[in-house]
Amino acid sequence: MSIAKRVQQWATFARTWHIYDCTWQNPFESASLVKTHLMGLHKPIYHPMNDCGDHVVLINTKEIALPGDEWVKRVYFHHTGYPGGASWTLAWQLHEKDPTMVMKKAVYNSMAGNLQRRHTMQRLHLFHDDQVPQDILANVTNQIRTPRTVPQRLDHIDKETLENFPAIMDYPKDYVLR
Amino acid sequence: MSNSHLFLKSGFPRAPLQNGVGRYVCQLQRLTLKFCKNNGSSRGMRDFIENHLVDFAKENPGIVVYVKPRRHRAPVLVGEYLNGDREWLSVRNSTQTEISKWIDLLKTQNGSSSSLRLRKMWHTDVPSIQGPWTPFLLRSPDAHNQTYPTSEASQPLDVPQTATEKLIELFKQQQLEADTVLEQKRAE
Amino acid sequence: MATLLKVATRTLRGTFWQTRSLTTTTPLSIKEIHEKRESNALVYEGVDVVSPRLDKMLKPACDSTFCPECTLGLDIKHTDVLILSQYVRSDGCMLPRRITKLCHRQQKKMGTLVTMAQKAGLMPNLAPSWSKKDPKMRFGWRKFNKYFLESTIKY
Repeated sequence: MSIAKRVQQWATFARTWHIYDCTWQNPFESASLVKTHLMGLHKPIYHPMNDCGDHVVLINTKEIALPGDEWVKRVYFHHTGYPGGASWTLAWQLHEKDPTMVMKKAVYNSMAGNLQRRHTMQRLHLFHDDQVPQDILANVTNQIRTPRTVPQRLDHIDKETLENFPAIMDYPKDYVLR
Repeated sequence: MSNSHLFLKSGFPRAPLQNGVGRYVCQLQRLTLKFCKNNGSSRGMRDFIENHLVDFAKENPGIVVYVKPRRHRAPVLVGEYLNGDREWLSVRNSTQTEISKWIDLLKTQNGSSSSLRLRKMWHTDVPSIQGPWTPFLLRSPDAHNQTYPTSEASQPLDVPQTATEKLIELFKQQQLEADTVLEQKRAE
Repeated sequence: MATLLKVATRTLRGTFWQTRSLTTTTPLSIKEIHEKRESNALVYEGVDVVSPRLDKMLKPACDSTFCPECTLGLDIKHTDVLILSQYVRSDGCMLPRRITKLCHRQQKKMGTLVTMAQKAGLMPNLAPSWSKKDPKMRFGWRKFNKYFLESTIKY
């Protein structure tokens, strides 16, 4: 095998690292994206018996967003195995305990329950904020695009935009400003 | 691929050492013909041995031919190959012509064909002209100098125009129109 | 002092009710209540001010029949806080229909959108004075980010 071909084969099967910003993202929409990259489904060389999955770094998992009142509607079940050992934890309670857990479980549950799943999860790195160790960040060569845009808060919009924004409603005559 | 093929050897169609490019080496090394002298199921085999076997052995000096009579058993062809494969073939109730065709097949193939699952039903020396895929294929060159994470690389690509943006656009249009009207008045 | 305030608001309300039927596009005089402290007495004063939105008005919006969806074709989402904040008082309350001049359906829809934006914590500066302002300081599950789907609006 020539040197060029060897390098090319190394490049084809190299594990790449992706980063994904979870700010204001639905964890379950994101999970299918992250899963695709974790398992290598986005590669044309994908085959179930071909070990071509990538590493994914999830940052800001504390800032995930759920639609409506799903924080109180989604329940995580656990059973210790002893009688009366069942417990139900609401999503927001779990998120308060461990801000990476909801995201982790979403990715874990989005994959088929086979022997490969645990090994695939080893390639997932979760961080509740944007403080990522430098040795992990140095590997990252790609960022996964999010499905949802991050909404802008009114008090974070700069003053110029706020003042120049067109009005579509004017106050009636003698309206008392409040 | 079914479960019965799980432990079957798999591979790609290939010729050992590019056999036949310079000279041809017959890959079949030994051929064993097992038959019964009395049983009707071996009749075609007996005919073959009487009429053609000596000619076959003369034509193929590289193949060792064994003939093994055995009582009250079905006739069998066994070929052994240079790569160590062994192909076993039952020729029960087969005619003389069928047997000579089977032997021709055993002679011309590279190894045991039935013990190999073909991964691909084709073979090419040039699998891809544009070259195999790499993670850096079709990636924009300026992505190499980026330091991630960035907010631009995180945003979705196809965002429809929001109502806020549309309103700003309409307002700018209105201001432009007002400006043109003013200029016209000034020109007059 | 309380009586003074009452009198001031009464006069204001009186003028307001008299001129309500007149819809105008000309510069409007708008009142603002100023609070002044003059030697142990709080004085509330209604001052005429020019509308802050006067030179920023979009032309079609000056018509009497204006609707952001029907006239301009705007598909307003709860994340369009710059638009929604125009229909909201400084304490985060939705303005009534006689001021917003929207049709019944749009008024309901805007109200829902404003509620969504407030619950999602996108307009924390438009809130009552006793509010903590920071959405991260809310109680229980409310402190976490949430978004809403506009398809769930009934109107």
